[in-house]
Amino acid sequence: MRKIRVLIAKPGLDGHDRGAKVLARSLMDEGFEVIYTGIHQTAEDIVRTAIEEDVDVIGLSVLSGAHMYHFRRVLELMKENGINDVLLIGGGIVPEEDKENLIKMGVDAIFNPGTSIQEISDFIRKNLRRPL
Amino acid sequence: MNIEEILLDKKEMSKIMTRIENGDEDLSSEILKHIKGARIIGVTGVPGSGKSTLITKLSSRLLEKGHRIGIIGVDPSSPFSGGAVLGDRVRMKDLNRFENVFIRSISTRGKIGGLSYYTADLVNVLDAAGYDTIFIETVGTGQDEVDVFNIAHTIIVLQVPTLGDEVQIIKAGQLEIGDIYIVNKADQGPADEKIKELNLILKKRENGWQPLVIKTVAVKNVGIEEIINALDEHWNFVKETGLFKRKINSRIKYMLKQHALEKLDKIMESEVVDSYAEQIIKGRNMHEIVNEIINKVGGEYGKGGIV
Amino acid sequence: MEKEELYKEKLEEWKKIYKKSIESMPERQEFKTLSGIDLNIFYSPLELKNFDYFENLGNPGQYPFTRGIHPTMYRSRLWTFREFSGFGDAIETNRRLKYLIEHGETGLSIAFDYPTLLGLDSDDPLTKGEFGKAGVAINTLEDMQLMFKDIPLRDISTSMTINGPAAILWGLYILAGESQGARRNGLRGTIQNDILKEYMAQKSFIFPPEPSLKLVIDTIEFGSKELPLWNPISISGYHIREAGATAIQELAFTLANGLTYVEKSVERGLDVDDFAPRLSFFFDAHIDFFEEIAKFRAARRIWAREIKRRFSPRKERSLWLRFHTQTAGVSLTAQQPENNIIRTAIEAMAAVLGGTQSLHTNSMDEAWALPTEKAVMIALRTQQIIAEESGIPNVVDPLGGSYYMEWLTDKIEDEVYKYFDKIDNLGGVIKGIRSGFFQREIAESAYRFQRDLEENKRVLVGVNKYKIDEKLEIPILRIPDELEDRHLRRLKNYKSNRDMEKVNFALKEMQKNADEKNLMPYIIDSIKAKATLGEIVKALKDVWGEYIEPVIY
Repeated sequence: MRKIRVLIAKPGLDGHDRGAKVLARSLMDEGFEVIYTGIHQTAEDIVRTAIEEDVDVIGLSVLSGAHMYHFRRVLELMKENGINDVLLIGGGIVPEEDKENLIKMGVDAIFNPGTSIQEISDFIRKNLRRPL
Repeated sequence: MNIEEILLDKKEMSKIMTRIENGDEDLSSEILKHIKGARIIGVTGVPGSGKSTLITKLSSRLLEKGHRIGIIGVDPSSPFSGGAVLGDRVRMKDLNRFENVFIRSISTRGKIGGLSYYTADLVNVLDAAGYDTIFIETVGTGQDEVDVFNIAHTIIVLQVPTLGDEVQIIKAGQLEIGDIYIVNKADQGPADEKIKELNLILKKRENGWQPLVIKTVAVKNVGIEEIINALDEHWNFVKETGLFKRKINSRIKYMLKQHALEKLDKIMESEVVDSYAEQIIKGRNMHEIVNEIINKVGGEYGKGGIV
Repeated sequence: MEKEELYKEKLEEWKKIYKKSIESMPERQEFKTLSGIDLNIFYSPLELKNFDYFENLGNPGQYPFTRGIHPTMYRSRLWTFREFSGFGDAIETNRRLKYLIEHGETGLSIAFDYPTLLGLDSDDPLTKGEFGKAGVAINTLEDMQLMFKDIPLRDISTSMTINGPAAILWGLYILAGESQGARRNGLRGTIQNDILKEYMAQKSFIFPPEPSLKLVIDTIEFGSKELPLWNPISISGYHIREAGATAIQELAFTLANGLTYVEKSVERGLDVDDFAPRLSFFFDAHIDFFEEIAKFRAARRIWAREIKRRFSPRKERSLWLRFHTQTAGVSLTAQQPENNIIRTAIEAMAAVLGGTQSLHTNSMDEAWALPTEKAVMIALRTQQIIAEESGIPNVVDPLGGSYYMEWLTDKIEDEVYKYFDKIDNLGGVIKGIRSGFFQREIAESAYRFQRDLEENKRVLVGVNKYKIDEKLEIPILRIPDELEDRHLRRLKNYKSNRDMEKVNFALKEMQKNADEKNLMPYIIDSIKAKATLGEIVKALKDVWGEYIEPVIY
């Protein structure tokens, strides 16, 4: 079976990387290959990385409140680049109303604080858009 | 559409790399037909010696000069889960402003030696796609990272003055493989002593090359131009002395060996081995068993067939 | 110890009863503090054989200040109640600040948005989507003047949560004050200005550590000469803890940072007594009640001892560790948010029992939203109930002398000193940051905590136990677009109405002197020439470069 590749990125300017780092390491424990890009990524950086690394999943962590802007921008660029077989998921502090809008826009899932790693990795395995 | 046209599209090229990393040997051999002879530079050194930063600085300079740059960063896989966190890009963020660069992060997937089984194949993809200079950043955890010697035309070994020799040289056995030695972070410790020491130890290679020693502070761009010149000097040497051809040969031989090894390792890690262990205890001939295993490499575990 | 034999004899007797008892009723689990310290079932004089009242505690207000820095503590004056504000643009924040003053606040506390924290003007393309979200955007002297319009800076004390560009925001504040007629030496307040913990945890750094540290020392020096009532730094463990550190790591890393600032200031030629009394600290109050109290007590003791031993000050005040506390944002859960009121109350009690000088209690929704007014009021009431109803403040350090408390305080102190040794062996705090030591330690603790949660070794009520089916209600704070438009128009206007030759000259002078001289006067001159925050930071980036952190997870 091939390795599932996941990009974990922090768009925008907030530096709260605790969750992103814990998730990166925990997904490694689950057998995933995690590409970790660190803080302060632009949407352009993120989509370019997703292409070059041929990832199955893009995971964004935003805690600055600027999630609507960043997700929208990443979705736009994914579309522009014809990326339609990659899951886009997110974590952080996202109000219910925004969450619904993001899902409508095309984000596959938003995980709130307190979500277990197991839940996230199960979601990824079940919803992959590419054959294993 | 032929493969060279496909490779023009980064997204398609990236997918080809994934297939190759997962053992598609037909694709590997097809790619091999299209390699153009890119300059391949291996960069090795312990964690914290500044490999990613150096590659970023050198690449920026070469990109400005019109080169197309490919970078493969290798990180270790977890021995428990087989997963990995690949973090080389964090320090390469600056390269995102250039179009003509392609960075790929890979995990060793259990292989020792500083590279993964299919690193050479991935280098071939970049080469075939017209990336004329390709950097390979080895794992850097340092026990025995000499695999890169089989692929790269030029090997840069990074040292830092703040870490002791016992960590940096003796364990890694890297005094033998380097063409250019860099004493990086020269502003943070006794760099000149280190340089003196290296110049004393490093003897002319059998092929006639005298390894160069350069002092740098890569983050501050100090010494980068000197390395670019040294790389050019070594590249001329490689082409003039016939080393270029010999390296293509060794790269292909290395590839073949890795493909065979990968399959062998897969077999040796599967349950099949348990029954062999039992058979040996019961007195079956060792030679016979080894032959049987080797036959398996060519048989059911063959052609891209991963268990 | 007197009667040691007797204690031992009784302990042996007790062990027999204990053994019998756990045969029928085994212990439920392993018992550890939140930071992983193994706990005995009870503590007795046997654990405190070397305890010496005057050596370990002293009376309140007496060295080593374990029991508190003041002889009367809360009998004379309660701790200060403090809450944050700031969002959107300067004008909006000004409205909010005036409202708070009308309702009796005398100390203001300003939060800035992410672009400002990173020294970027709001017209920088990198800042898209971030305007005014987590605080107010301040780019120019005009912004600062508008934020404090009709608020007399002569009379008010202002705390600003700003680090990377702290020197510049301070410069803006000083000039805003002067334009109101307030003199520098009368200005009161705090800039957080603790850059070292940014590299360890909070990650709002700009320049590499060495020049950043130099800039901090510039502010300490400038403050000691020109703004004697200002606290030029608030050495912060809060963010280290929130990033995942244990209580021991929080304390060890914060104190190591503090000692680094003192050491560098003394190296600069400052007299320790001229600035040490103005250093202040900022800690987290987490949910493990006794461990937190012990942490605060150990903090005071270690700081007093180390300052005395290393720098031999003449003033006793230089030995004081004064600190602000905020309850732990990370301990709050989005699930069943009302439970957070209880968590915050426990944490606030720990802070008070630990002798804090000021306290911010989180609102139940604070971890993920700008709190609602009702939530803020409950948080404030929590402090008031502790202060006015509980009787807790009546007696100084009421837990002093408890076998457990004294053992735990000693234990934390021992563990902190072990970290000090490690940091010394690495060659100091900056080398440790560059090699990723602190980041690795913190990431490791965060990871371990998550694993414990996943394996149900640790309980979070409402998250991995006692869950209910609920829809997470997270109130949304929308920053109206017109605030951003208004701010950008103002910035554009500011930039087009100035003499660029003057701006460039001032910035060049600053750059020329960046490494050799105290930068504060040059920063102030640049602001006077109408350079913006982003321009000043950019000019310094051109000299010092930007920092990229080592890869640690």
